[in-house]
Amino acid sequence: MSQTSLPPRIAPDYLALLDSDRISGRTRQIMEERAQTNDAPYHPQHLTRSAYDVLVALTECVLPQEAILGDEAINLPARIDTRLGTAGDGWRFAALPPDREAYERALTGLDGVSDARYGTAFCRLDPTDRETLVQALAEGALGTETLDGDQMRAWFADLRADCVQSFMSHPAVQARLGIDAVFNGGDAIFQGFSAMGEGVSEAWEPEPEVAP
Amino acid sequence: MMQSRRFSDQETVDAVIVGTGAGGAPLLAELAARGMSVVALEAGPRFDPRMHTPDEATASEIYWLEERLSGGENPMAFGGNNSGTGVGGSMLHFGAFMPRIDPRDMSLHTETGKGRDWPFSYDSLLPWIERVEREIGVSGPDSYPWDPDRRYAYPPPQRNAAAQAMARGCDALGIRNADGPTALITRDWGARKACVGCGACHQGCRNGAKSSTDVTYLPQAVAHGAEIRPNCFVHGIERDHSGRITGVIYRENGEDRRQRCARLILAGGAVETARLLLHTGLANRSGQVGRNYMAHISTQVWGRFDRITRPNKGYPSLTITEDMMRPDDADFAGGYLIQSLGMMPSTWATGVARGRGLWGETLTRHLRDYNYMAGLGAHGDCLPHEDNRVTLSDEPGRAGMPKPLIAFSYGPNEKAMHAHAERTMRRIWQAAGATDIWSMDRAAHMIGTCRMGTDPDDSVVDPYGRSHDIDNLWICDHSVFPSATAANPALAIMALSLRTAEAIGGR
Ligand SMILES: Cc1cc2nc3c(=O)[nH]c(=O)nc-3n(C[C@H](O)[C@H](O)[C@H](O)COP(=O)(O)OP(=O)(O)OC[C@H]3O[C@@H](n4cnc5c(N)ncnc54)[C@H](O)[C@@H]3O)c2cc1C
Ligand code: SF4
Repeated sequence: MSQTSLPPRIAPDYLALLDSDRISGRTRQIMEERAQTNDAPYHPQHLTRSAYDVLVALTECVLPQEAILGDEAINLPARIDTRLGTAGDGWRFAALPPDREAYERALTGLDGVSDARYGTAFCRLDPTDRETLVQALAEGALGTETLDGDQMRAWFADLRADCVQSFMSHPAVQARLGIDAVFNGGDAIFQGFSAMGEGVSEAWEPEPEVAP
Repeated sequence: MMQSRRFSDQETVDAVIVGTGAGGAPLLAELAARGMSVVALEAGPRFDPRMHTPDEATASEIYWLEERLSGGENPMAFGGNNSGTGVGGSMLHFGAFMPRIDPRDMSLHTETGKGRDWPFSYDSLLPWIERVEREIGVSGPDSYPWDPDRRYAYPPPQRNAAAQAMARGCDALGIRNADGPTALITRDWGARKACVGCGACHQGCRNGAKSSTDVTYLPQAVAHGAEIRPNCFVHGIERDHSGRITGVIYRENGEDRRQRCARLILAGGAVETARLLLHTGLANRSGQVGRNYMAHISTQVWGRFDRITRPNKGYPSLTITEDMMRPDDADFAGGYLIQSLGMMPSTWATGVARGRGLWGETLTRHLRDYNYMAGLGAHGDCLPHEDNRVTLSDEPGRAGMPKPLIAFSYGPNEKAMHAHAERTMRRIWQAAGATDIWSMDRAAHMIGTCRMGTDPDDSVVDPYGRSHDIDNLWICDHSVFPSATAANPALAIMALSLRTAEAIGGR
């Protein structure tokens, strides 16, 4: 994954929509801030450096971005680390400790398993061995010193959710996929959508840039 | 419009109501209209509807974000999935699907020997249901296939892609289907505007089209002199030597305050009402507080279509079928509804990542197809079970009140219903031409925990919502349901709320 310090590019047509009267002022500001977040290089604020390094490698494996963003990328681990400092989403698995601690333990534990099995840190594993470990994680077959296989599997579901939420909410991703959820109406006129249904697009609606 | 006066803390108001959602709001309006002095204490803030945003990450401001611990074999997601906050409660972000309860569901025990009957009949609830529909504005078809005499004041909104696909799939299989009843208006009504199909019902309606309490019962309540006090979290209940309630303690801006009251009505929702009663140790002579926690069996099936669907467009869940309320080949008690599903991108992607369990290249490639997806969702009855329950954890939460721990597991009936719903919805999607069909097991809505009944030994409140133990304590929210019933709940909660208000006002 390339990690430039520039946020992923957004095509001019989509930028024009972000500037149009089809989006509210508040939503435009949210999208602009998110588009401009420059999060590489990033120093973890909530995870230890060693856990964060595992997170960087793991997120590449969980949600590779090339198929949508080409050679650009959103710094998912940075956004997840930032998220770990906020109030959270209203619940957690009772079987897991609070989010930040669960992340720290799970990531450190995964590194420990990598070291024990392959004699090297998770972030230095070759892709096949990495996949093998992640597959075990997903199946509940990877226990660590502090979290058992079921706990690791539950945590892995949280991680997947955190990854896709940061990813899908990014305006660059919505632009590449032609998603127009935020253009559902402006402040002066609340347009909503007029033409809808199977195979129906309105003339102004963005086309996907990446072929489905 | 909703600015209200503030009663002094020293004043003993006729009633304090905790919560302003489906349970709290209608009763607040009704008691105020009857001339009572009433204060609603609401833990969440007051939102300006015009400032709601379709950006899902930011829209989490209308979710109940205080952490809950979710356990059992089917741990439920809360927050965005299940629970709202603010002046208007969960109805700020509810989906506005508004079917009526199937009368058979209220006497499931008589019918099947399973579950629990309600302590009154559907016929006695119906007038209240019709009144709510009239007062808030509900749209629906000219003739409802499962109840042809029923009338709706507004025609249905426009069908989106998912609604069209479901109708097509059902038609091919001979399953009756229709535009479902929806709590939104399709013509302007006073200051409220007609639905424009913006698709963001779950993120908050910006033009008052969605018939949530914040644009219906709450402004009415204020017009009749009620006070709504936002950002006030109730965590204590005070009593006199005879055990009657004299007031509540709430936290506002980091400070504890007291509001004196002649009666207290709890409407914080099935988790928070039980949590407050367990924390204060009140009204639990039966030992039933927190027990029989239920959730709808809300299995989803998704598929990919050849033509673009743009799942974020239009009212999200318009098409309904009630044909599965008692399927011939059922191996379970009760039944389920099916509705079509559009969905905003981040919510959908979370389902893919959590529910389908994808990761790696297959995850990215699936996300890429968002604009070609459409879904179906079930809402099925759930049997009450003693061990599905809300208890207090040993972790301190807001204002020092312990965080609630919710244990929820499917029993054999829930598993059988989930499997049946999955099969049916897969068939509908196949018939509609979907490919790459997948399903996700999911439970929604928080039900039970303070059930009503006639026997003080095995219910928490009487059939009108009054505590068996404390005569000036009432409960008026989703926690009083003795059984889940398949219907999406807000309509019945509001109907019961008006009914409870009459019982209070009549005494
Ligand atoms: C995403 C989602 C979609 C839904 N879709 C539908 C649908 O399409 N159709 C349908 O019929 N139903 C739907 N529902 C369910 C419906 O919204 C709820 O069942 C209903 O609102 C519950 O009413 P209630 O009064 O029990 O609680 P709520 O409406 O949740 O109201 C409780 C209120 O009490 C406040 N409160 C809680 N504790 C305290 C305290 N200690 N002090 C002060 N205030 C407190 C909360 O902040 C909240 O505002 C949906 C729910 C969600 C979350
Ligand atoms: S779809 Fe209609 S009811 Fe729903 S939020 Fe948009 S305008 Fe309001």
